[in-house]
Amino acid sequence: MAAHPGTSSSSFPVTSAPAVLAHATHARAPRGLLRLCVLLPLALASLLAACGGSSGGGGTSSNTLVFGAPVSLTGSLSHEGTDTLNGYKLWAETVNAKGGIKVGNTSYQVQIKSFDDASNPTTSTQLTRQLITQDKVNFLLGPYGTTATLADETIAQQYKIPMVEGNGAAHSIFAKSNPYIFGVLSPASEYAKTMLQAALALPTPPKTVAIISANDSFSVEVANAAKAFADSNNLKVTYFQQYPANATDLTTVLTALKTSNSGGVPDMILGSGHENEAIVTMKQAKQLGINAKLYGFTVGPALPDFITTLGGDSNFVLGSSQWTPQVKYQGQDVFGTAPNFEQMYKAKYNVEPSYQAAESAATGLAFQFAIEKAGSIAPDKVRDALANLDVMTFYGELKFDASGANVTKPMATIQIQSGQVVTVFPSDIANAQLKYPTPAFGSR
Amino acid sequence: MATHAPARDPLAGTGAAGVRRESREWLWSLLAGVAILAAIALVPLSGDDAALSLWTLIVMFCVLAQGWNFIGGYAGYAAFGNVVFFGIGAEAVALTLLNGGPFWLGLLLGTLAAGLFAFLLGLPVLRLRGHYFAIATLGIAEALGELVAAKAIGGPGGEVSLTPPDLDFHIANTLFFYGFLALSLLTLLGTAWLARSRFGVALVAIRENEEAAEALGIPTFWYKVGAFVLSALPTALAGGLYAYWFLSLQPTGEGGVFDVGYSVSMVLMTFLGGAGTIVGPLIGGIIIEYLVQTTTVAFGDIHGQLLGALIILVTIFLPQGLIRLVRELTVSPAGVKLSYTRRFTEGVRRVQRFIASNGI
Repeated sequence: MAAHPGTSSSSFPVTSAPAVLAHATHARAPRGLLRLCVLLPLALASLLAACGGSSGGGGTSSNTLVFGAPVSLTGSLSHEGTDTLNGYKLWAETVNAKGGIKVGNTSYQVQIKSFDDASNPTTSTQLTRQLITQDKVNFLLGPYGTTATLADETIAQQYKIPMVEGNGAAHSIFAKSNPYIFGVLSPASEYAKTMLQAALALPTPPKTVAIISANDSFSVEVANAAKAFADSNNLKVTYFQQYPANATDLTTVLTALKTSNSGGVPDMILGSGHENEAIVTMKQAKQLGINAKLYGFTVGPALPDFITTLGGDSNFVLGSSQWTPQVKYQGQDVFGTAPNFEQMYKAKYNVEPSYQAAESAATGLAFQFAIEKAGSIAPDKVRDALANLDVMTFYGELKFDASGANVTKPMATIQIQSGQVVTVFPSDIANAQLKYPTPAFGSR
Repeated sequence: MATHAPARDPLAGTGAAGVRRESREWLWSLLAGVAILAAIALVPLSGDDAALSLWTLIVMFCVLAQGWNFIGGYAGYAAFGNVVFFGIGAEAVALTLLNGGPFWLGLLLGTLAAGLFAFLLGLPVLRLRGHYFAIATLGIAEALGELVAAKAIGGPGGEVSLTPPDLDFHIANTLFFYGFLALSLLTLLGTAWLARSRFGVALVAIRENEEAAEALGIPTFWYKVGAFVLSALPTALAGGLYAYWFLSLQPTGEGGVFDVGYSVSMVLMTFLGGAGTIVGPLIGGIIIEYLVQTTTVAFGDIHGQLLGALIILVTIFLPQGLIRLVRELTVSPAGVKLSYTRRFTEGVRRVQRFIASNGI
């Protein structure tokens, strides 16, 4: 799509002002003119392409269902956002290969229409409006992250278009009595709990824990739930601290953690934040010589980048996961089982699927089952079918409570062992033992 | 930054002819600005909600650039933290609404708070010059954003979710659009007044040579503080409108109400249009925000690179803004009767010279 606007439209100026200049100044094109020739077409080309892009977009052809999705492909959430889009696309491709979504005697092909919101919630809502009013999408898939989901669900409600999301777990998303929002993932309160449960199930469980969290509402919600759980389970919280979201330097926090007056380095360090912060925490813990017996992060270890960036230092780290390729659900969906989804995902993208990818694919499945059950593509009928949905998928059970949250599916604890992600808790889906304690940096 | 003298036209006459030309320019600028805003005012007639919200955003950014123009364009002080006033305006409305107060009260409180903050902040930082001033202002917005997040003002992490106004959302969105438009018009009129006033002339004098201005008896410090407060007012009002329009606020991060990205946009838009001109920030705001939003849709994964390239080209070739280009093109040599064709050719030559003189 017009990858080189400057060169592709170099014939442009013939009819525009600079050509007149060339004539008036008698043949020899001055330097300034040449520059104008570069600048003007670039601006014009982008304007024209922009107009063309917005007027000729999507639309619903008779046998296509268009799913709109603003996702973060650039900015601070680009890793997670890319996985989200990959999940959406794999679902669409798989459904289409299996004959599409069946409504009565008609089969609908699935099309994903997505735009990059640059990790900016304001842009995300603008794109959601664009998708609804100009691209005339039938349904909405969620963006990545709590803030964007919070903002976009309002738009979905205004236009009465159901939105199924798989990447916003905060309580606030479901506290707005919005009948058009559905989340396939387990809510925020579960994120840290699963790792603490895994740790407490050890023969000699850790006795102290430090909880650090980013200061966005989701991470704080998770951290508070973790503290409450630890307090009521005889796990002493020696350090509880927030840091700015997207922080690239956590030296201050980690130094304070190391020298905290309640006994120095705790048995367990629990981070509630985002992938980048989890990576920074591990790097700087190494620099500062902070050797805990267990490290756990709500977001990060489940993503492939975590291992490739940290190498050996990523071993023994715990993560909480909405889903792992080891879960043993027997789904009625197009993917069927987790290993099958993993295999298809790897075949298409050449990397292990993260849980973000899986839960994103699951949002599509929710729509697919609801549309087939409703026997209609009318947004309100599909919404009602979503509200009454109860199906088993490769990702787990999809069933929404009155607020639209999925409270049925449990979360899993993963651990990185020898550069591989394995599931260690709960025991009925685990494929490995939790390795504990973690050796010192350098011998992992 | 902002230290370029307005390009002087060697052919322009002095005395009566020169004065007449100057006086016409402010009028033309004002009329052009009003005409642009009048054209934008027709957007809701299209009935397209996406276009309406697109232009709401564009006009909002225009107001931010117009506000920045007072301190950055006229006084020539590169304030890199003006988003702080936007954030104060937004937080004031959010907190007022969360506590059950009316929207107008939030707007009023936000504007007063931002004005007062600009005054108190200006007292120390406007004694700094150049880079030092820029750095000092840059830190303020970041610090305040982190403070709101750390103190969980309005909610955990400073994140706020507001209840929409009790109106049909089409009507509400149209009202917010006209709210921003009215604010932009008001700021435009304010700028036109400033450009012709003693205050404005004093600011330009400060920009061009602060010591000389001081020597002439201009109380430069208080004029600068005045310009800073003036730039805070429309910015805070825009922040307040944004809060109730957008409903979900976060203090930091991309799109947060204290996000330094807004400050960068203000500077960029003002400079593309023309810093220290009446209609420049308006034009710059429209062009940049329109391109930002539409390239996102049209070019998908390369929109960032495309926009970056455009910014680099603009900075290299048009550091004094589009308005200066128009000025070079339309200025007519005083006292010489020329045909329109000849005048156009002359204008084009001046534009070429102007661009060449800015280029590498």
